[in-house]
Amino acid sequence: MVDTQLDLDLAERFQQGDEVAFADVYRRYSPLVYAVAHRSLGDVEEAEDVLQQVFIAAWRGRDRYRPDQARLSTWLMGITRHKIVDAHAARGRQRRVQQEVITKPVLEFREDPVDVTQQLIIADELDRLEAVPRQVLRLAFFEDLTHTQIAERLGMPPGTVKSHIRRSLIRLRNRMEVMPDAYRP
Amino acid sequence: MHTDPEVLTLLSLGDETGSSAADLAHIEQCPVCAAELRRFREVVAVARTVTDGYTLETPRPQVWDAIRAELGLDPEFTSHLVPPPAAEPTTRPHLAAVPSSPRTPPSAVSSGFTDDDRQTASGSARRDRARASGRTFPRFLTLAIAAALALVVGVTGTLLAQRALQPADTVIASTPLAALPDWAGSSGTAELERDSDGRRWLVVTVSTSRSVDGFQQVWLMNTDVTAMLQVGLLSQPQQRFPLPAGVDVEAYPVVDVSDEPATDNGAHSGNSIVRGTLPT
Repeated sequence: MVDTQLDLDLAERFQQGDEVAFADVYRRYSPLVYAVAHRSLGDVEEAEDVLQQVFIAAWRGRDRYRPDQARLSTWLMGITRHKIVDAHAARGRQRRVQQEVITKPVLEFREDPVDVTQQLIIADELDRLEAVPRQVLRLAFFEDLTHTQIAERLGMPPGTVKSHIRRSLIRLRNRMEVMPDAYRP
Repeated sequence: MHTDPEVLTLLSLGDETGSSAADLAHIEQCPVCAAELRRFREVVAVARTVTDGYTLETPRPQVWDAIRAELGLDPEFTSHLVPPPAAEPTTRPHLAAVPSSPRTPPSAVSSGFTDDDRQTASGSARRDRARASGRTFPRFLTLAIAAALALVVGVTGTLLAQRALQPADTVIASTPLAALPDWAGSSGTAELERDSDGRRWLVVTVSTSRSVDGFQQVWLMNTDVTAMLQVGLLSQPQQRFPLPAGVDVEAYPVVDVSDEPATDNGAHSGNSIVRGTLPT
């Protein structure tokens, strides 16, 4: 559950009703919420509508948020999932499913929406890493280099590479923790 | 003893050069470490499907406006968060002097707080605040009123201070204010105080090396200068500004005094005179 101190402070201030903190929370997480909604709904207006509903619900329901129990991002993603489900329902689920069965390949249709969410969460977190750990992780993820090869490439001690990998992966893992009960409307 | 997370994270990437035979043997018979490794492998599996094309889109600013309106948020605190200096390096030269966080991509933070996306980001932020402070007034009149109000607040504050002789006002934090290069020779101090009623005051003292062109505007900024709040106009060498309860000084610890021209539009001119950071 280790998050940056800054995120924790922000979450607590938000929970206590600090409007400036709420504006910061919006700025910090609205691209993620919007991206998840957009990918799921495939429509800009509906995604904007979900984004709006999510943050209105978050502000009005901030008393129910417990900073010591769930990350703010996790809680927001919980609300987001609820609102996306509502949006799918509202537009007439049956009709949509029929259309998708017709127009989309089966594999894509069966894709678990949570995976998309997790990809976006990871993308968001990768963006947020400092330049050096981000570069280390990119080499490890996408070029399949071992830690000693990365150390040579970047001219740093292997021990430093290892600790960057450990810290960054723990961060990503923590962000991806799914707590379905974190949000109860 | 469980396996070092460093070994587990390397293994999850498929890098076996960091683990010993003993490590592998332990993981094989330890459910805790095996579960940890599995979890890291899931993270790596998802991460490897994330391509560079996965940049997050920034929603249109109207969405934030709608949220703010629906919730009745105070525009003074939620509307005029200015874009970070990276977005406008040429117009905010001094702001760049404060280290900005590389963790926050400009694209993700530069919008969402404006009233009208037909304007530039900073332009509409300015207009937004103009609205908050009385859009029907000509700009100079608004500024004059603001200056007068600041004067009243300052005088009242001074009177209060003299009456109470400060036994109950405790200094929570203080910082010297250092001159920016263009204002070498200027100096100042900022003190955050709490009075007996629990109200907080920002006491700002500034001595400038030359006369300012317009007004001295006091700001509170966050440390990466992605957001700032107008505190008030400095109309005398020392002034006390009451801080609204909603202002979190720990989030906005940087005290900045800028020279704002009389034709100012409400945004930071980029011409900072002195600056300091309150310890939090």
